[in-house]
Amino acid sequence: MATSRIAEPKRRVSSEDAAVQDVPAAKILLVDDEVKNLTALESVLAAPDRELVRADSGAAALRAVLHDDFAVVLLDVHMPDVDGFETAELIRSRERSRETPIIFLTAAISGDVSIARGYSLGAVDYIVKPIDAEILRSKVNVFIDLFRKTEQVKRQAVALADTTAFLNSVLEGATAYAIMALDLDGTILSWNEGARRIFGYKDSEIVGSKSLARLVRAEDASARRVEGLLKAAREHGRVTSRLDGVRRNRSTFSAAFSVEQRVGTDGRLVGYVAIGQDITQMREAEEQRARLIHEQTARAEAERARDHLQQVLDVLPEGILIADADGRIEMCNATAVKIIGGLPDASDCWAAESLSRYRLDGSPMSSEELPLVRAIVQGETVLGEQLMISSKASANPIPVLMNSAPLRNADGRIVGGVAALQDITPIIELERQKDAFLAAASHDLKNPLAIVKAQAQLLMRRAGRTEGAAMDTVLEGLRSIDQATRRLNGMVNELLDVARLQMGRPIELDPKPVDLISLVREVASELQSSSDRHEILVECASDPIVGVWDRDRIERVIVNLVTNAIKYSPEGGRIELGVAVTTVGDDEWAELRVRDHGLGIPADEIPRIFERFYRGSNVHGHIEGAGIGLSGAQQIIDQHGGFITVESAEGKGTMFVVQLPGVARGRTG
Amino acid sequence: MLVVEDEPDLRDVVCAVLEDEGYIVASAADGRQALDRAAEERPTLVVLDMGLPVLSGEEVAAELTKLFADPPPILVMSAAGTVAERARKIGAAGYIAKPFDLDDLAAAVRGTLAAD
Repeated sequence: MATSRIAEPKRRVSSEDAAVQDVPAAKILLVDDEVKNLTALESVLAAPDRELVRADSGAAALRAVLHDDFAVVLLDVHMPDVDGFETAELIRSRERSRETPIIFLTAAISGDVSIARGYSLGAVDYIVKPIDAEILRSKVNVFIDLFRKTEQVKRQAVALADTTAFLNSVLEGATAYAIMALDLDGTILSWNEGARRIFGYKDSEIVGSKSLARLVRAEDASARRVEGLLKAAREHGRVTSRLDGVRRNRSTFSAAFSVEQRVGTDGRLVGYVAIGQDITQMREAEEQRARLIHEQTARAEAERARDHLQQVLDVLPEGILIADADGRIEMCNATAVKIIGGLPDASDCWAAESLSRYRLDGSPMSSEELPLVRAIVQGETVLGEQLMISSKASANPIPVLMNSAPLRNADGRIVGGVAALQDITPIIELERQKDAFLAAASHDLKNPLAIVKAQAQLLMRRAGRTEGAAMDTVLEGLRSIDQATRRLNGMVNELLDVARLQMGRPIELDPKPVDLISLVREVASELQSSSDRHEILVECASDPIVGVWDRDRIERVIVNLVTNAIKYSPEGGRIELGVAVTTVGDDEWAELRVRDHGLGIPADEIPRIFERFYRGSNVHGHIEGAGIGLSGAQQIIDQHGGFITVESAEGKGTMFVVQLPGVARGRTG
Repeated sequence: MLVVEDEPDLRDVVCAVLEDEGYIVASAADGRQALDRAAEERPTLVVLDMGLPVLSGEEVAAELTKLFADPPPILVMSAAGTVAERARKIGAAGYIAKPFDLDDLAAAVRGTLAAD
């Protein structure tokens, strides 16, 4: 049996729901064995919102319901092969069409049996022929309406199921986030895979319990932080917080939580959504960034400090070198670059390749002797060392003054050294000029003296070979010339020494074996003749005390001390000279004491008496000043490697003690 | 022997003293002359003043060693305080400081000749 359709366009049905679905047009099945009835039905029921399907037999009707869903089936009861009721039973027996509304079309309600049978099938209605078109239409409309609504609901349910499934998969997929639905008092209603993973609990352990507190630290739980968060969410809608999370295995991690209100369709609060995130990595990244910035700032600071230091160092008139503990020259300031020609290579240990260094006498200086090396290797602070340096910058060696000191770290270990260099060419030049002057002065004074002396002696010799009284006078005269020249020579020597001392140049000693005791006795007897108010006494052993010293200069020192003693006891009195040998360690030293009982030296002046131009303040009147003075005496003794010390009390007297090293052992005269 | 000294009166008296001692003495007034005379006379001793004009005493000493395979010993005579040091530097056999006693000069000459 054929079925035919009246093609109907699909209509869009909009619903309050967001899902817009295509609801298919309602289908109506018209079953009647008489075509004219079917046509009549169609004319009554045709409308744009429905599709009418014909079936001219029960079998055809069955086929149709197997095919489609119908809003309503209109069934002629009286049909030849399968009657309406049987058809209806068959329709009802199919799962798909069990609920399909059926309207029986009957010529007459003939007997209760039929009606009862019909009704027992459920969802039926009767319409008696002749059919009232209005009634038919309205009944059909009801069923169509019902069908449509049912379809809509079905579609909405599907859409909802789809959305729910989608959301669930999103939630589950968001494993980086712990998403929990909470009810009003904080009970966890549900949570996602992310929560499972982050916290490590099974659903059964968490869901359904008030266990938010278990997910945070004990201190936070007891401080009711969780309740606080819920309260804040209640009041402000949303709140975020950083709290430490606690996993099932008791380990903690940095977490960020946000809690949001869940509001029902009526606008009332129904619960909360809590979303938590493990921010350990984020935190580490933050901390690392902060550290990097800190480092960069520190580095910039250090560079600025370094630049500042460099600026300061470059301005200094001294050359500054800084070396590390391995001998690498790390830094030269601008002046150092001028002196040594540039920063040496990193591989050039102690700058041995780029710098040649010599002692002042011209002999080469090894690296170990360099002040900077001594500072670093031995921790020695070296001051005032003079040496010569030549480099690419200077063809000839430059004399420099070098001071060096080690640099230590906080533990006291030597980590490098610093050297300050000063080009002392002008100073050395001045010294050379002084030396040249002194040599010239010496030469000029000594030559005439040599002539006088030699001539006198020659004449003496020749006269000595000739007999006669006239010769005696000549001899006498010549003798006096000889003596005078001796004295003059003595004075010239002293004058030259004074000049040297005044210029700050060292005296060139002429050391020879000297018996100190006989020297002291000589000076004592000579000076005794110059004063009868004083008594000069010599106290010493009888054995000679011999050392290799410069006789003339030591004599001058003794003369100076005794003359001072005489000058500073204007009332006269005793002046005692004591000479003895003392033992210091393995060496024997000679000790000379000169004591007077005169005016003494005021206590505050004692430290100053060895200054070059010092004159005592407590001696009144004019005191002749020529001679080497105490400063000269100290320098002479100093150059011998000895010491002069003084003790004095005002009104009581003064004692000078001279100590000279190098007394010959065995002391043979 | 050869006496090298630029101061004429001193040169005369030193020569006179040495002649008095019995030596044959030649003299020179500066370094140049000294080298010329030395080449001529082949002296057994050179008394050398260090304060010479033209050539310095050191230079004369150096030239003498170049001139002779077996150079004569040098007795350095000097007014400077560094006489001992300068003598040592040029390898002189002896030294004497001005002004000197004639006896000391004679002794120094004898000592230098003996040491050679």
